[in-house]
Amino acid sequence: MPAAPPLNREKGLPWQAVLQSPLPRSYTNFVGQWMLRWIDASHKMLAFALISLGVLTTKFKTASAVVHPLIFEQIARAGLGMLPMISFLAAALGFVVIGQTVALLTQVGAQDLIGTVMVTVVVRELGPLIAAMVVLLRVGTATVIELGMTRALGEVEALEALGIDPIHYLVVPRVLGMAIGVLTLSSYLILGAVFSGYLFAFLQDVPLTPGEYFRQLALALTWQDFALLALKTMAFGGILAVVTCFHGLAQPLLLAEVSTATTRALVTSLIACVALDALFIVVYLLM
Amino acid sequence: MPASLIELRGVSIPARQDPDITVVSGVDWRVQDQEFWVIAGPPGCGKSLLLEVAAGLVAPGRGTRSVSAPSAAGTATAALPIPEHRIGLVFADGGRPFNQLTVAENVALPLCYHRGCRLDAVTSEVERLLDWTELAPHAQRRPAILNRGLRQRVALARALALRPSLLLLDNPLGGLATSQIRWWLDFLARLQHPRHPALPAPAAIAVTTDNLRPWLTLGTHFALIEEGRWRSLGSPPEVASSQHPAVREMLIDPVHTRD
Repeated sequence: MPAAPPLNREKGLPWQAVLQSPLPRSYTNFVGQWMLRWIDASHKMLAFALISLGVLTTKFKTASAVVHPLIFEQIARAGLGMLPMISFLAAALGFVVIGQTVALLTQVGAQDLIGTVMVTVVVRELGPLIAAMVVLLRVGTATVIELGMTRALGEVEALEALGIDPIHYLVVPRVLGMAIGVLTLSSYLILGAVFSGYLFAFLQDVPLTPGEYFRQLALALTWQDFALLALKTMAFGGILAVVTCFHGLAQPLLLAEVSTATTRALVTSLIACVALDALFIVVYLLM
Repeated sequence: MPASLIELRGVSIPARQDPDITVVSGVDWRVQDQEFWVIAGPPGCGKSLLLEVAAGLVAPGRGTRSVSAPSAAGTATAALPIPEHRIGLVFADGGRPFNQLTVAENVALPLCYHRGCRLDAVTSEVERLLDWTELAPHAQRRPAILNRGLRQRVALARALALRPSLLLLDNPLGGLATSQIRWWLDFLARLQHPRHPALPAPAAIAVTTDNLRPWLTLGTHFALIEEGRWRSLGSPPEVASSQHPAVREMLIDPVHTRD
């Protein structure tokens, strides 16, 4: 007959019995395997990010006549090419968030908080996050598919056979393009939302002069906001590029696996951006 | 004795998906100036992997791989290493051209990447290569809309752009029509014995195949990969008179000789 499990003196519970609890074996295996896979993928992605950063810094001037036009192409794709979409979103954001917030705060006599609310909601949070999501959906997905096809069709090996570094030729332009793209789009989105927000507030006859509105915004903004906005948006862009390039390029793929890789890249990018955003919230709270 | 352009000594070739599995073992292969190697074997025997190991794309599982460059006089100097891209590799099944670039850009890319120039700065060289490979009418087209034979020629022109010392061709005649096969054999004969000084003829050529017949006139050295082993077959007369069953099959197989 097996000995009785020792009791947990503090809570009076048989702790060994808890450890040997009837959790389904398959469930624990599932969680364990999921965590191990997550750690392994994170480790590989970090290594890929460091390799890309290394290539970016050491080979920035190598074959610049070939690679730099690709960087401009990616900036145009992730930045300029998204301007119509971002303008639409800025107008929607201005209407949904700012227009209503300004009207509400004015109604309750809390006009003095308008600047703080605008900076917190639009400049620090929604602007960068929405711009990053737009770039992820419009450019990130295309990147995984393009690079996944490149990988599946063996073009990566063809580049290597010609002495062309695939990271330098395929990844570096996308990292820079998406980082600069998210930065510029966030700026346009924030400016557009602030202006369109006031426009909607004006249309609702809110008794707030443009001078007062922009004075409050200027008072609520600090230089740290600009620095952190630049840092955050470029980090978002870098994460999107690294994750999407990693899923498309860094592992052997069959054509049939490209769609799965795309889905996985989107989910991973989303989680990574939200996690980074949470980190920045801590920084903002410490300011 | 001239030094080798490339030498594989006791090399084993790992499988693509699992490096712990050996596909071919005991490869002792030495390529010298003016040699034309024909490596035969059934489909899936590891010929493509062998070329990828030779080109430096895949590390050998065991053994050593050494590469040397021809000196100015045309003979090889073992101590002088050359960049890996001096070995040109044309992949099988269409050659893997870059589908997002035009044919002309495909050929210009390696030149410009290594010279640091813009893609439109090497127009004359690209035009010459496209003329030689008879791709000039397709210069501004994307490879994806070309047929397999033309795509493979794009890959050939792209590989020749870097003037490789050793040109590796993975089953270049596989799945091609008779006229295309004739074009490839004629062009490789011109590369082997160039009359035009500007033709970027490599010092040596190696091809893989599963049909030995077309290569008996061009090949100078033959080898066979069979059941995971490397076996040297010798010269064309030795191959023609070989009684090895696999060799006989690759010489008389009616499926392969219909062209």
